[in-house]
Amino acid sequence: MPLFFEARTRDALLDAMIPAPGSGLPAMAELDRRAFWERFTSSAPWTLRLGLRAATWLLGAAAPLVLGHRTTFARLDDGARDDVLRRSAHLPGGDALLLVVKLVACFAYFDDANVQAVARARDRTATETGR
Amino acid sequence: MSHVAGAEVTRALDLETDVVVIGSGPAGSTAARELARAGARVVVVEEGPWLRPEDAPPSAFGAMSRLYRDMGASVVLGAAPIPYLQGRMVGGSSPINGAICWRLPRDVWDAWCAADPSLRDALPWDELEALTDELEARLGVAPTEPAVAGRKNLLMAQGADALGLAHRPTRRNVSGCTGSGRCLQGCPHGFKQSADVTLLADALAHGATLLSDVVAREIVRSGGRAGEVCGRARGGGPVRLRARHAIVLAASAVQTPALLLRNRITHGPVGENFQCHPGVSLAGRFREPVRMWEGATQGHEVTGLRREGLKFEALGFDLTVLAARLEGVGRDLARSIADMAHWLDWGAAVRAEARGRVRSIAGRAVVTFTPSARDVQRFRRGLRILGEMMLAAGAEVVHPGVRGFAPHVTSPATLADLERNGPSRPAAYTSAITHMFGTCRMGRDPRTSVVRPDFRHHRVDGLWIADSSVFPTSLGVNPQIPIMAVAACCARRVLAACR
Repeated sequence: MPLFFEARTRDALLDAMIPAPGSGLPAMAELDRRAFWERFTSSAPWTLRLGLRAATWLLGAAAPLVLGHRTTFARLDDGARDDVLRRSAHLPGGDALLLVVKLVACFAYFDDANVQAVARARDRTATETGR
Repeated sequence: MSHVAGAEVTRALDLETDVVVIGSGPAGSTAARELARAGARVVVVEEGPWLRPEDAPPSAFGAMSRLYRDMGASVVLGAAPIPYLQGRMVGGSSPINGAICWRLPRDVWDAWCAADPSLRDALPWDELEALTDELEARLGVAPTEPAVAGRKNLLMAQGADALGLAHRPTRRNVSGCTGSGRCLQGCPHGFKQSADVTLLADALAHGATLLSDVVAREIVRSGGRAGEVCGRARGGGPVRLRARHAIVLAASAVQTPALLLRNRITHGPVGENFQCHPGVSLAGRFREPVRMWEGATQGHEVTGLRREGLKFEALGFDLTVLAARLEGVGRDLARSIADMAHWLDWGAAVRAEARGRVRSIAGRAVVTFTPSARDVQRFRRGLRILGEMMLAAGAEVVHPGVRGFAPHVTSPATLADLERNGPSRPAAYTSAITHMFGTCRMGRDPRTSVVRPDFRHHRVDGLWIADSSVFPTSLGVNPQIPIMAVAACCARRVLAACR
C-alpha cells in the first residue's frame, strides 16, 4: 500500500502523462481509476510495481528539484508538470522510468470502457472508405 | 470429460492415472490428445485458469493481468532486459498468440539430423509431415482471407511488392474470423482454434481430466523412477497425482527446465542452450487512417528473408500497446493518442544465434540472454527493410524506435545509414521475445542432451519431455504447429514404451 504522498504523486504523474487528447477523448484526470489500482496491486508482477514506485519517487520527488522547480511534482501546475516529464528523459535513467509510467498510464487509460469506445469509433468512416 | 477448477479445490486431491501431463499448451494438449485417443488415462495439470470466449477481457490490461505470465513483464537478463511473453492459462500461449501457423521447415529438420543423425530415425520426416497434415486439418489452418485482412495487412503486401520481397497472407488457425484484431487478448468470439478448444477438447472428450489453476511443484522419484507429481491448487488444497506409466513435461522451454532444476534433476545441459526469436518493430504514420487495431491481428507476413534469419509480420496491437509504442510523453503523447488511427506497426522476428540459459532461483525461472553482435546487425537490417517497405507503402514518416538514432525518418537513405551505422548495443533496441527453444534438448549423447531421441529423460525413468525445450535449435518461424507435431511424436513414443 503506497503512502499518501506516494499515491498522490503517482496519480499526478499519470494525469500529466496523458492530459487531454481532445477529439472526444477524456483526460486521464477525468477517469475513476480506483478499480484499476485494485487490480494492478493484486495482479501486477512485483518487478512492475517496484518500477512504478521507483519512478514515482525519482520523477515525482527528485526530478522537479533537479530540474529547477522548488517543489514536488504534485504541487506543480500543468505546464510545469509537462516540462518535468519532457526534460526527465535527459536525466540518467530517466527514459526507463518514464517508460514505466507511460506503460502504466496507457494500461489505466485504455482500461476505461468509454475511452476504448471513443478511440475505436474515431476515423471509422475514413477507414471504411479507404478499404 | 472432466475438468477440475483448482480455485474450488480447498482440500487434498489425490488421483491415480496412467500419464500425468504438466502444461496444457500446444505441446501438452497435443500429447494428451494422442494419449487419450489411444485409451490411456490422462491427467493434464495447468497452472493458469480456463478462459471461455465470453470471458475474454476487453482491455489489454485485463488480458495481460489475467492471462499472461507476470503480466507480460517477465524479462531476460543480460546486456538488455528484453521482455518475453508467455501465456499462463489453459491452452498455454495459443489462446493469446497471433494464430500464425508454419510447418516445420525441411531445412531446419535437415540441420537437426546433420548435427545428430539419430534424430533421422527418431523424428522421421514423413511421420512429422503426416502429423502436421492431421493437425492443420483439425485446427482449420488456412491463409488469411482478404475480406478480414484490414488495411494494415494489405499495406504490408503493397510494401513487399514494391521491394520485390516474397510475401503471403499468413496461414492461421481460425474458423469464421471476422478480423476483430483481438487475437492477443484471447478471441472473444471463439474463432481462434487454439489448443484449448481443439486438441485439449479432443483429449477431454476421450476421457482425459484437466486440472486448471493447479501448480505442479514436485516430481517425486523413487528408485530412479519418477512416479508422482505434487502441487497445490489455487483454492489451497494440496494435489497429489500418481502416474502409473509416465510423467510428460510440456510446460515450455522456460518452465520445464525450471521445474527440473527446482527438483534437482540436473543431469545434462538442462536450462542451457536457450534459443529464441527476439523481435523488433517499426512504427509509421500514414496520411489516411489505417486503424491498426482492426483486421486480422497478424494477417500478412514477408517470407523472402527467412534464410537470412528474418521474418516480417504485420502487427495488430490493442490500443494500449499501440499508445505505449508512440513517441512522446505528456502533451506530446496526448496528441499522438488523438492521432492513433494513422499509425501502423510492423515487426521483424529474428532467428537469434546467441544462446542463453534458464536457471531456477528462489523457486522462479530466471532467463539470461544477450543478443550477439550479429543478432543486433539483423535488428538493424530488419528495421531498415521494414522502414523501406512502409515508406514504399505510403507512410509519411517512420519511427525505428532505436535509442541514439534519428527518431523520425522519411528517407530510405537514412534507413540505410541505420543498417550500416546504427547502435551496436542491444539495449538501444526495443524488442520482445515470443518463441523459445532448446533448454532440454534431445539427442543420443547424455553429455550434450537432456532427453533421448525418443523423448525419455536420459537418467530418470518414467519422465518424458514433449515441448520446444527438446528442439535442438530454433526454427526461424512461428513454432506452434511444429511443437504440436513433435509432441504428438513424443506421445506415440510414450505409448509404445507403455505397451
